[in-house]
Amino acid sequence: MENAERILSKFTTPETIVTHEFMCGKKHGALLVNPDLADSSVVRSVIFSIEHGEGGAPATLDDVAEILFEAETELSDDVDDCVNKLLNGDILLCMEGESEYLVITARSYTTRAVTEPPTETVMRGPREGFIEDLRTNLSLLERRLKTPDLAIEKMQIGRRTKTNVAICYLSSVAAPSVVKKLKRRLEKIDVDGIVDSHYLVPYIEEKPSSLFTQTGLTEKPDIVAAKLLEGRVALIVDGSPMVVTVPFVVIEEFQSGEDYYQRSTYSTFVRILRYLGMLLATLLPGLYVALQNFHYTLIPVRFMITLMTAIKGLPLSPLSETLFVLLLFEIIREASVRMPRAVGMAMSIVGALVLGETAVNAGIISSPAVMITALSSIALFTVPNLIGPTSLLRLAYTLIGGLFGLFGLILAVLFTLHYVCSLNAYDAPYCAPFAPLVYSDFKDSIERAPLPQMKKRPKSIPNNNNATRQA
Amino acid sequence: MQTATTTASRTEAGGAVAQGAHSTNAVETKQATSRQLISIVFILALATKMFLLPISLIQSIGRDAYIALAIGGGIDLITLGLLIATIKLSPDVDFFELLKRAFGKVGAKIFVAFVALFLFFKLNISTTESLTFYSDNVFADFDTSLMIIVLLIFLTAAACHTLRALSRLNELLTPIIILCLALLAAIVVMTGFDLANILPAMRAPKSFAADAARHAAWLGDFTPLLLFIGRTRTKKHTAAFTAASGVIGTATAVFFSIVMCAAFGNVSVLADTSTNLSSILQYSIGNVYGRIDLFSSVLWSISAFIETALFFYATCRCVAFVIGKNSHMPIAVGVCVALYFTQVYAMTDPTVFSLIVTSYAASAITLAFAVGIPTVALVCAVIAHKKDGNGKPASETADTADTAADASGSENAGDNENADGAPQRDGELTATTDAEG
Amino acid sequence: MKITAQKKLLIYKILLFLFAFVVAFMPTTASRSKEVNSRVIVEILGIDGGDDGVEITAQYIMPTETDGATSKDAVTVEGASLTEAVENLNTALGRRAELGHCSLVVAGEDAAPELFGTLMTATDVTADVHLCAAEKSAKELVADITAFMKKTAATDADFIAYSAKRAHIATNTLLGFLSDLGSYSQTSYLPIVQMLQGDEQSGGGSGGNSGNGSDGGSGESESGGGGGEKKESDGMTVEQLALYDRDGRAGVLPRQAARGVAWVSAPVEKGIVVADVNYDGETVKAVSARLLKKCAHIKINHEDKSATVKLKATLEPNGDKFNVLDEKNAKAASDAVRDGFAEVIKREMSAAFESGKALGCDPLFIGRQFYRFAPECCKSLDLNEATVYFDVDVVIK
Repeated sequence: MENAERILSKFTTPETIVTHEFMCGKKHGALLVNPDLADSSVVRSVIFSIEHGEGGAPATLDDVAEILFEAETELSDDVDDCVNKLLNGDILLCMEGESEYLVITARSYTTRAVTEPPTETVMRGPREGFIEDLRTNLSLLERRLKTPDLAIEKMQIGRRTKTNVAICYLSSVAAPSVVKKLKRRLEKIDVDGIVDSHYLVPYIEEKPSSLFTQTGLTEKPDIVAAKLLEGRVALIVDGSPMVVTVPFVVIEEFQSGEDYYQRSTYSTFVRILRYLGMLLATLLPGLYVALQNFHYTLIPVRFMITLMTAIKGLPLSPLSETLFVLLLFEIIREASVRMPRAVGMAMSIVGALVLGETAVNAGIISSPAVMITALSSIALFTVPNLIGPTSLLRLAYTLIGGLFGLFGLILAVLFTLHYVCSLNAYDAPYCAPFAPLVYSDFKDSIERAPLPQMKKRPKSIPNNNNATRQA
Repeated sequence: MQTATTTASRTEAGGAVAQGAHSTNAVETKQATSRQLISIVFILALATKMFLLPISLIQSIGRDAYIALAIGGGIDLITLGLLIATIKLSPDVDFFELLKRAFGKVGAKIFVAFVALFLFFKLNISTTESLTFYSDNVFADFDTSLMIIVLLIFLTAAACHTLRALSRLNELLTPIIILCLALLAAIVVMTGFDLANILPAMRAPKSFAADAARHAAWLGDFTPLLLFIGRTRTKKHTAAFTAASGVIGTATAVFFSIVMCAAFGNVSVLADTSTNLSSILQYSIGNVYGRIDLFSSVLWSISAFIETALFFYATCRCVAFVIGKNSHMPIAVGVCVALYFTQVYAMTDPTVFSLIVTSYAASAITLAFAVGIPTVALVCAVIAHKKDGNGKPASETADTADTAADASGSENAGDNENADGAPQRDGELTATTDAEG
Repeated sequence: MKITAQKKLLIYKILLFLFAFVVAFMPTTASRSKEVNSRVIVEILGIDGGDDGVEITAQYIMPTETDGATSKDAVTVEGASLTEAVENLNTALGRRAELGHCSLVVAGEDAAPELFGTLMTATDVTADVHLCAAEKSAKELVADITAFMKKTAATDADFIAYSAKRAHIATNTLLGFLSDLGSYSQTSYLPIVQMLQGDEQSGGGSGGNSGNGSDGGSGESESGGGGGEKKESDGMTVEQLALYDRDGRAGVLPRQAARGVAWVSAPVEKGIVVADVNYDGETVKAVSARLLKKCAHIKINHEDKSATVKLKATLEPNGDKFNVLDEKNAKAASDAVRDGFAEVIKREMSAAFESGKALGCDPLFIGRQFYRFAPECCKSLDLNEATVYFDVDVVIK
């Protein structure tokens, strides 16, 4: 059939598309379907309905649409659009004498079950996580935000992948400028393909080469729902369980979904621990090296004696030694992430215990250095989202502390803070509520105030003049 | 190639209404908030007045050094008042534009050139103070020519970003600085420091006046506030709070200088650059767990770094205005190189420093600039204000808007000025944002 | 080929790691000269001498082969000036002496006060370091203290700090000493540390042999306290005060007068007071009380050039002797105890003033107080003729 040929000619291997030809009265008709993506039961029911429908064979595509009243159908004469729909798993129906195609929704992908995401496990709270299917993800979100205000705008990005992307926001809450800015940036993307939400991140960030992420990433629908309620906009990408949210402020790295499912006092305590952990992780090795190299008077006498005893006879200078131990830890960490589970435990023991202890006994490194680095490394994981920047920063601070002492360390910290203060992401200051100081947002920064006290949405996140969230 | 966007909004009607409503995200040029201004004034009031100045005063004046510092602080507070008045009178027009309107383009550039020189001089003083504090108290060996490089990198980074970033940094760190100062003050009070050692006062008024007059180079700490003219969101009580902040900062500096005078009042000849608040407090609390005082003093010293960054930033902006180009990095690097040479080859030598900074000529010139610059700014603001009429300043807003204003700074607006004073977009600085433009 | 932003970031990260290691293993960085192990911690510094040469004795701590153990030893060096002597000390020790952790400076009998000013400005010794005086030579005292600390395995030389707060001894820091000397009173004091000698032992010295000190050092260095018979110390006592004026040591205040100075000295907060109490015609001997709190100030009257030393002390008598007194007449008993202690305190303060006056010193800083509040009056003030009253108010808890 000519209509069918027009579609099939677009494919390099038309054999992937199955064509069912049929007779509709005196007219030839053809049904085009990609068996890998379409639901076969829908295909069968369409064919059955056409061939055995009440009122005889349908004469036009409109008649076919009437017969298939329970299915989602639309007519389209755009060949490229129809090819696109076919590639997404829809069925195309064409008839002799008609230039249009009837698109019947029949998408059916093999997806995994909704389970708890491995990167965001909680002891309390929902354990559902997003999966790779956009529709399922949208349904998870829509179940939590049963409001007509929930806006879901879909677009396709990627010339070849034509990845479906959904922009979700609450229209009465999210600031229009944020939505507009995000859409504008997405529309500008001209790329071969997007296979994961992380691909979109550099296109929508203000400073993509920055060490610090300026978008939120989460796999949990409850967190996305909460963020939308605060005025953020979520980006759900088909094929990726990670949802991107904007605007983003740095305190979100220190927040966890579980904070809101625990007592507020305990949550506050845990958050303080995270901030302290971050400080320890970044500054401890640098401070250790700086004090050893330059600032003896700051070290209490007894600790100084212990230190002198411990580092006696080592072949490496304090800076080299600390860098060596840091490198050792980085290698062990990276290897333990990638090694097969079967040998993971054994190799971790070999790496951590044998290497560390043996190296100390052999007099290559000292036990204070191992202890300091271990403490710093463990503290890294109090804020898992910041592991990348933190590990890089602590390396830089160690180097600077070893070369320039406290003077250099303080300036390095100031440099970092200044840089972080200069970041703005979608009209939200990155360092809010600390800089600029937004008092009302402190209820959900270091402190996690009881939910009844959080009556207003965070001021740091632009909203649509709709600041009150509870009476 | 983009496919058509399908909109599956579930709230067309509601969305349209909401979209049209006034958003809290009001588009604005990047400005400092009143809170940031207040915290910056506090830092400027005390940062460099607590490093070398008390030592130099004690060496020359003796136990009455705190009185000289209080007098200097008072003069600086007057200049602060002038600047606050200027900021209030000119809420939308910045300093460079005011000068242009008053003196014309050429006249403004000449004036700003002198301002730049003055700011560069003050920059050198604050840099020397920071470096001396660390070299004489924190480090056993300190190679200035190497260590200053780290400081210059930070200053360059500060100058390449916006005033807003610097203001935010200051706002972020001010609570830490206040905490450290409070801790240090508490140590003094609780350990029963013998403050009566500052008595008797003013035993030799004539020599006091002569020696105090040589230290006027430390005046003019509030001069960087020129950059906040026309770029600050003021509220009803901003002026009062800003003035109060300056008074509290000056009072803090005077308090700690009283502590130093009390400690070294009888042995002023022994005061040297290793005499500072840190050693005084160590003397007060004793060697309990090592030098805790030094750690808190080091934390407090970040206020000096911020003040230095402000001076550097102000110098770069003035240079940019004079040469008519607004390229941040080349100007910052140029000022850095100049600063490096002046520091390494001049200021680190105590004799040269003393000759340059604590001389009558330098003091007279500094005093003239310190008072003259804000006065000129105020006069220009008054002239501009009269020309524009007596309308209410447009940027006086309620509390929420003030917070929201900084909270929701626009990405496209910038506070980096073109040579002709027009606000410049941040997007013009980086290629990334250019593409978004 | 255009480098994307992500590639740039990766390149930066790799370069940073490489840079870090290159820098870390550079000769200047890898050089161990700046490490903490390149220093020797000096805990106690003794100073003898003045214009004709300075002799300093340093007690230093070194980690030993045994894990966690340290050894203490003393070394003596000489120099034409204090700074030269300190440099010679570095040479004698073979490493740089870390004077920032020095917790005690001992002044010999002949140590000139100017040396302490140089010590504060030209070395790393901090202003808060405690000073004490040796009866004779600082070298011997430092050697004795070193031996005693080795014997008792003491880790810190903070016994003076203890005395300062708890043992009713008037102590002084380096800055305090210099400030007092520079004041109008031109007087300062230092507690004298004396070793309690035990049984005689032959040879070996006081344990002050410092093999390290004499290795590789200058010809002027010698081990401290070496050779000859020396009694091993059983402990130390701090009871007397050495008074200083601008020329040096003026004299020694005996125990009672030293306690009088302690009453007026602000840092002294605790201590034991012992008094004989007269009650109901009886004298109860040696009633002791613990000092809980005190507040002293000197009020001057420039009209009649008199000064009143006012002291308010809160004491808590110790149980047994106090109970000897009549429980039925508790108020009267309490008053008797209070008066008894007040009398003792007054006597001690008076002894301090009189003894100081005899030595030409002003250990209670009456003159300084006149200068502070009535500087005009000082021109015609003769402290020897000024009247000083002592007003003691004791509160019994």
